Amino acid sequence: MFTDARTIPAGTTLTADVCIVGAGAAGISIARELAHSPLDVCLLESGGLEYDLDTQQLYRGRSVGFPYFPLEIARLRFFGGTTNHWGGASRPLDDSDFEARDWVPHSGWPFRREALDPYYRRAHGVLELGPYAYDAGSWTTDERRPLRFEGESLRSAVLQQSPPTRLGQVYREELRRARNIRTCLNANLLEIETAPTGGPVTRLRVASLERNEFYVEARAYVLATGGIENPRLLLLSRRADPAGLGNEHDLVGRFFMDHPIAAWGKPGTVAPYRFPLRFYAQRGRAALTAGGKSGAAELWGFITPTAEGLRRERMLNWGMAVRRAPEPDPEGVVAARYLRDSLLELDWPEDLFEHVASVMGDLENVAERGWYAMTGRERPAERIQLMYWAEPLPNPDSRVYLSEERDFFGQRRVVLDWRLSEHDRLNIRRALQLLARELGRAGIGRVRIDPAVAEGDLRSLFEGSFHHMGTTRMHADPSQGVVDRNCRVHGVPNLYVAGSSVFPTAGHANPTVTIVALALRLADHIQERMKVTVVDAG
Amino acid sequence: MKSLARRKLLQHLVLAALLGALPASLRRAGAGARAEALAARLTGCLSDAGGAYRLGAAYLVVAPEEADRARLALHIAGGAARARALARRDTPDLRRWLRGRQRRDFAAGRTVEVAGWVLSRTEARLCALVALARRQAAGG
Repeated sequence: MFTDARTIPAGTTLTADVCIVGAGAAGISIARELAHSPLDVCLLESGGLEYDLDTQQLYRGRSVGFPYFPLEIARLRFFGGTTNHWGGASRPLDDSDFEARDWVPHSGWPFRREALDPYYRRAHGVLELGPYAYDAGSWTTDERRPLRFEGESLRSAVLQQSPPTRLGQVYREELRRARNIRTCLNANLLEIETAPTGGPVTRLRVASLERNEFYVEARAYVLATGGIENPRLLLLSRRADPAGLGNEHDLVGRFFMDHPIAAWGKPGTVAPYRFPLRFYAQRGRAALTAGGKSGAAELWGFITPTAEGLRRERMLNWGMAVRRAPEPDPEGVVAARYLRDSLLELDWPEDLFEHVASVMGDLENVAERGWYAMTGRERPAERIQLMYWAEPLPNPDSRVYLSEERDFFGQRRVVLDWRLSEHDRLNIRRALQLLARELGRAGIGRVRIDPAVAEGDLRSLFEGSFHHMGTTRMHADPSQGVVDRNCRVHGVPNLYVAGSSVFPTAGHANPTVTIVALALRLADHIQERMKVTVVDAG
Repeated sequence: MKSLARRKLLQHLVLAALLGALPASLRRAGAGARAEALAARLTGCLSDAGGAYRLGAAYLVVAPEEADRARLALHIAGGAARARALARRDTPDLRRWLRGRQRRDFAAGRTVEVAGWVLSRTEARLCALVALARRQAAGG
């Protein structure tokens, strides 16, 4: 059932077993799971079913650190959340991303990748991905072969492409029909209320843009509003502690991370001797080739370090994509293509003789291109461009905090202070050197590192990825994390946080599939915990 | 008797030293000539002399102590004995050997950054040979 919060009278109290705040990747995934349970669920969404400028403006904020996108466009505030504009690239975190690494301060999740594997598999269904397989070997065919690295430092892997699933569209009807779920649109959370002495959340104070304040009381609450809004809402909730809810150790909002990207060509280029580009440069549907399994996925390959390579080089995790550098088509090839298209459309070509002369004057190129087109063989690239993205270093000084500026409701907006450092430069430099070494060793090509990598302004080298992570980090120890291994806020027995804000480290992979996997895991946990409570009460 | 024997011994030692030193200097001169010859052969193995010249000139800026064709050739060969053997190989064989040498350089981390390019030490030196040859030809 969908309800428009603008029609709820001020002072009303809605009740539910579970209240989920935010209908994005995490919130919708949890709600769908609970749709099959006996629990009454209230799903609050700030926006409506479509983009609305006034609501979107609630996301405005200031950026004072490393240059970042305007905060009101870096995420979306309507049903479906930021999945309304995500690109769909998907990959789980690597095993090593979960480990505590002595060369990565503050690293280590409270559980290993295996604990998340069943949920990653289920997340594949939610995001309409292919089989849960990301190693290059599972997707190798005669036509699409990855590079063979002789050393033990690098490997090839794949990213899968979701359609991309717009969760707010794909699952809208399912949620509308769910009898135990009330989706409350245009409902903005203003405060998470507790007793003045702390303890559990007692209720949520909510309002629409009509300023009709109302309340939601539930047995459990899930904050699922993204990596910037999650800490903001905790910091705005000060009934028990002026520092904010769950912020006893000054961790809420700290450790903001985004994946730094060096866009195509910025890291450098490769002069190839022989480079099998198809595996990497052609996004396309591929069939699973691993023994005994079947299925297909839209995917493309990339290069990344092995766990051993990371350990040996003491690096942050990273990925490198490759593509053919843009090459202007030779004049004769352009003319031949024009003549072919004209003839296929039974259209008499303009300047026929001029085009024929161009073809005749450039026969070598025309013949070469024609041969590759006819045989389906891969035409060697003259130059290959690189794109790099990396795991961000967890840094407590990289953070989100409250500004003195106020939004429509008089609530303090956020300030984002994103930090990158020379460590990020060292990482990309080392990654390129490693790639150069392995490509040279295999006789595949030579790497040219762009001068900006060595000494240029980091701001001209890197940009963000719209991945907001780490601001309510997960750690078993309350002095090192905001939430525990079950995503429950330390010290608040009925408040959970969902989404990438709980990532203690972020790997290099796009976060959405991990967000959904963690959300499904949290949904299981809540159901289990509620069941126990019901039994106890009975 | 004792004094005569000692004198003879000293004479023999001086003679032996002279006999040993003369071929050594001759050998050195011969080795230098062979290294120079190998340098010329190695230079001929490169297909893109223009690109090699630019990289070679840049390499000599970071490694000025290697601005000597014979020394570079010996570095590339990995010693005088191998330089002698390499000088006898035909060009395709020499190219094959160079490719293998470059791969081994990369595997062992013997790389150098020249104008942004990450090169094996061997190919950087090959480029330097080209740069030095051009300098000599230009009278520099």
